[in-house]
Amino acid sequence: MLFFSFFKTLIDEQVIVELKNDMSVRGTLKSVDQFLNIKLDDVSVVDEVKYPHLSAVKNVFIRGSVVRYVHLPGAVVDTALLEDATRKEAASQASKMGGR
Amino acid sequence: MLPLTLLNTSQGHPMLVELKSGETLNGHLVNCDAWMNLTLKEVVQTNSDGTRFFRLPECYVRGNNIKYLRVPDEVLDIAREKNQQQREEQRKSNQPQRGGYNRQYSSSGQRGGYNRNRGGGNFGRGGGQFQRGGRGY
Amino acid sequence: MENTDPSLLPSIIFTTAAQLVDCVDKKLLVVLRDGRKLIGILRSFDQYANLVLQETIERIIVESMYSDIQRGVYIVRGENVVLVGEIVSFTLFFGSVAFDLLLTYLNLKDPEKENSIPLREVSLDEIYAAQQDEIDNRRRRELTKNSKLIDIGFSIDTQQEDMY
Repeated sequence: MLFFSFFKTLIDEQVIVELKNDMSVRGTLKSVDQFLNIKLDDVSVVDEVKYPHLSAVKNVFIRGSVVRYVHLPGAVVDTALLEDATRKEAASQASKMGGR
Repeated sequence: MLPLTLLNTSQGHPMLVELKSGETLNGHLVNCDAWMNLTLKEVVQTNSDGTRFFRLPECYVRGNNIKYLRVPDEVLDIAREKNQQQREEQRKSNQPQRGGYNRQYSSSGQRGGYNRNRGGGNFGRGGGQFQRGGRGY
Repeated sequence: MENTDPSLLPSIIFTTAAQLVDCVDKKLLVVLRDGRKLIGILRSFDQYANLVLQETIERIIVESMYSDIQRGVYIVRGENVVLVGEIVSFTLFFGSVAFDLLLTYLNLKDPEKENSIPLREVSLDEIYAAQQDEIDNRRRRELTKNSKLIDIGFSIDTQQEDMY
């Protein structure tokens, strides 16, 4: 759930979602769920000539399973906090495993 | 009504199933479950480039292989009607006893009842639905 | 959505349901993993993003040409969905094929979508031919690429299913 929580902190930021077919969609991150499905507002496709079908679309729901990367604005990521949260998650995961 | 509820309602109706491989199956839905596994009868199977056809008296499809299903338009209306009926009955039976838990039990009880009545009168309507628009890949 | 457990309500803001409820009864573009584009009205969905579409058309687009095929009701298995896009709102009121053409035209004048490409409707035969060419070209490119990759010592994934 770490990345879910992380993505929640990025809501209302401009991101570029790169899909596994190399298509990239730019837009405002509006929502994310536990499968990392993503909803973007005010979208534009990065290579519109190659993907003309999205030119009449204003917002998209992208299934998490087809996402390769989410390009984030570096300034909005608190890496120290993220590292910290990662360690905590790893620790809690480890204690769960030990408890079995 | 949920996608799988609609699928349930489609029992007895003709449908087109396209598998992830691109093969299509045209037949009547006999049964389905919560994993989208299907049994069909009177099936015409078409290979992925649409060049070869096979007639199968019946077939089983494991849900994970499905890309999509196309069902006749009227199945949506039937599903809506049933949904409406169900709600009405639910509302009636809920009036005397209020409260969350009772409500859930009674709703699942009713669902069984509605399943038993399924099929029936609408059998076979909407054949030829899928010929429209020519090639199906 | 029926039988929603009330205890789940606070967390519903971040569920698949919450993301797709806004799209219900609207005209959507659905892109599938095999590259198909469906345009239809979303009637229902579930947690896997299985979708029910009504009055669906399949739009085949090759370069700047397109052609539509009337398809009807779809139940799309969620795994095969790439994206679901809401088509700009005024199509809602006039959700007809004719209006789609007008939309394409209007797109040219929409300041926010100034770069959008007008598509030209062609016959089914034409689009199928163009599509076949595209598939053949893709296959040829793939073959050359693969043989080059093998030459320099890579192994190749044999199944290239994703066409979208």
